[in-house]
Amino acid sequence: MVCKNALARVIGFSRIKWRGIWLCVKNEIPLPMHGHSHKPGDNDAVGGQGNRSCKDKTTMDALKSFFKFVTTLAAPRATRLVRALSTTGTNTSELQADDDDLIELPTYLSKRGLYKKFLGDNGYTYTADAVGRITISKDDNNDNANKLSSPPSFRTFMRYWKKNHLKLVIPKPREDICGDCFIFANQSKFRINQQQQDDEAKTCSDDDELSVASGLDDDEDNNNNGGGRGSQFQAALASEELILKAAIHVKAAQQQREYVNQKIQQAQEDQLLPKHERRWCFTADYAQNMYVPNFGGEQPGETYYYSPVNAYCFGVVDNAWKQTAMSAFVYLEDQGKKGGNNVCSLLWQEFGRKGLLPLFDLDTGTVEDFHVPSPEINLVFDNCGGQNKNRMVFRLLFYMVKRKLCRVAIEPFSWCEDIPKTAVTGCSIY
Amino acid sequence: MFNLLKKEYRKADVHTPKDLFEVLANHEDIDVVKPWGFFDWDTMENRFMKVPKDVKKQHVFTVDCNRDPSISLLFCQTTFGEPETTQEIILDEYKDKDWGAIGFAHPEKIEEPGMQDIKWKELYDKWRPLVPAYKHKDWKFFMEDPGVKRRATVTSNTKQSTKKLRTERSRTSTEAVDKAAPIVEEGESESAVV
Repeated sequence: MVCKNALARVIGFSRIKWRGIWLCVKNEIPLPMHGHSHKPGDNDAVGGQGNRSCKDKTTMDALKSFFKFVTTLAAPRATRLVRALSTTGTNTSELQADDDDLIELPTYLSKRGLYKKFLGDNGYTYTADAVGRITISKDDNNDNANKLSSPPSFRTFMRYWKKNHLKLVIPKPREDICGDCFIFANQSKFRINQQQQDDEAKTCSDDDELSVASGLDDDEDNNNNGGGRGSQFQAALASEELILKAAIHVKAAQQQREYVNQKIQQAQEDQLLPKHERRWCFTADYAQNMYVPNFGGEQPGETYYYSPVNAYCFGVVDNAWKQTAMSAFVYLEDQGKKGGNNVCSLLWQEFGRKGLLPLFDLDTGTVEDFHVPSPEINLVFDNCGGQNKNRMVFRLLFYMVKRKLCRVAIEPFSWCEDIPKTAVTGCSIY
Repeated sequence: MFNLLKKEYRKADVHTPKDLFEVLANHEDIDVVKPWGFFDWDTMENRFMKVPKDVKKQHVFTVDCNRDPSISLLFCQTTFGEPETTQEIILDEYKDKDWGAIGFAHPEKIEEPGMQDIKWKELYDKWRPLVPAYKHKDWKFFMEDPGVKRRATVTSNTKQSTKKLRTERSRTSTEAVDKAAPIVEEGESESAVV
């Protein structure tokens, strides 16, 4: 014997639902169906959830053509474009975004914005008030006002997007994109546009020739073709040079990434050895500034116009551990700046925390003889000139070796901030 | 990792530096550390070393006492695997000497830059009323009035600087630029693009 409440709980039915079913069975009445069950919808042609818009072929066609248009707006980010052009990015497993099929829309677009545009294109006006209440009204002045019988909801719009264009995404804005990649991307985009314009112009001229001058001399025709071929050849040559340059850039970035990964692996292999036998690898960089006071919970309107005090955060990760832990050095703008002296000071403090600093003879200043230096210390930075890549940080290497922190000090700078994911898994300092 | 660090910060009300440390230290993988001070490495290094040159194109820098026992060479590579170049960095008079021990060769502590007067004034006058009263004691700038003198300096600085900036701001007439000869010749346009 099983208690009916216990059985209902096991099945996952509530008490009321159980009672309804029980009454139906008792009175030999067919069980009630959900209003939308077995009605055609977007999930299934026969038995999906019912949805008015999904049944409407006009709406579906409008959505289809709209997303076809949206796909043309796709603008891949600079590094992805460079990698695709150069076709040397074979080692994709360590790239920040592994999925090459992703179609990335410009970051300034938003899902709500696209929905609004869709409605606008189909004769509806989308308005939202300050509280977020949405009103969709018919725009009678629009030529497409009677195209759709009723506008699809935002939910339907998003469901269609997810179902049919899963790889179409609006990425988050990115910072620290490699300058070289950006220039290459701009140049190649310019080339592509120019080529498209040339093609269009050529198509137009061909049409004209066919319709008007069917009796042109053969010599003249040949000359025209020759000129076209010449310009095409020039364009191809220019784009080839561009691709070669990009390929060299990507290759260098890959080499640098492999080098850093090798150093990280060495550090991980040595993690259980005593300090003076370990090869160390640290990754360090400044985070974006924070502010004090910061009203993150509730922001009084006037604070928008006030200037808070900057708080700086310098993060140092010891890459020897797969589950990385970061030391975040946090200070305010009245305590220090963000220059080379600060980077060196904080690195030195981190070495102290790791127990790498030697003991000195207080009379002579020399390092005690019993101190054994580590075989190698690697400091990985991004290629930020002035802050990380400066004379103070370079010369710190000499000081480290001279003061017997290590026998070899290496500073690999990442070639390109976005192509290599130089930091260890779990650490996205870049 | 920085994202994890700031996840809580973005949502939280941070009124004082103490709050900031508390919010940041919430994540178990993050160890929030207060710097023990900043030091003038540049001056100390200038005593013993030259400034490395042509570093923009280089990406791997190595100091190796196994290959260079005198510890005076900086090995540079454009990328890992490329040929190495060397630069002599240590000054001639300190070569083959334990310069690290000379006068303890440690960098001097840099004085803290301090809070800008204008920010202090703003913190006290504008931010303080928005911060709960029991937190005022946690930060000096909420507790101490910047004083009449500082306020006067801020006011005069602001007035002077804005007026001065407006009047002395450099301008270039666009008409003059348009009339001038084109910078890129027609023949050069192709090379300028690529």
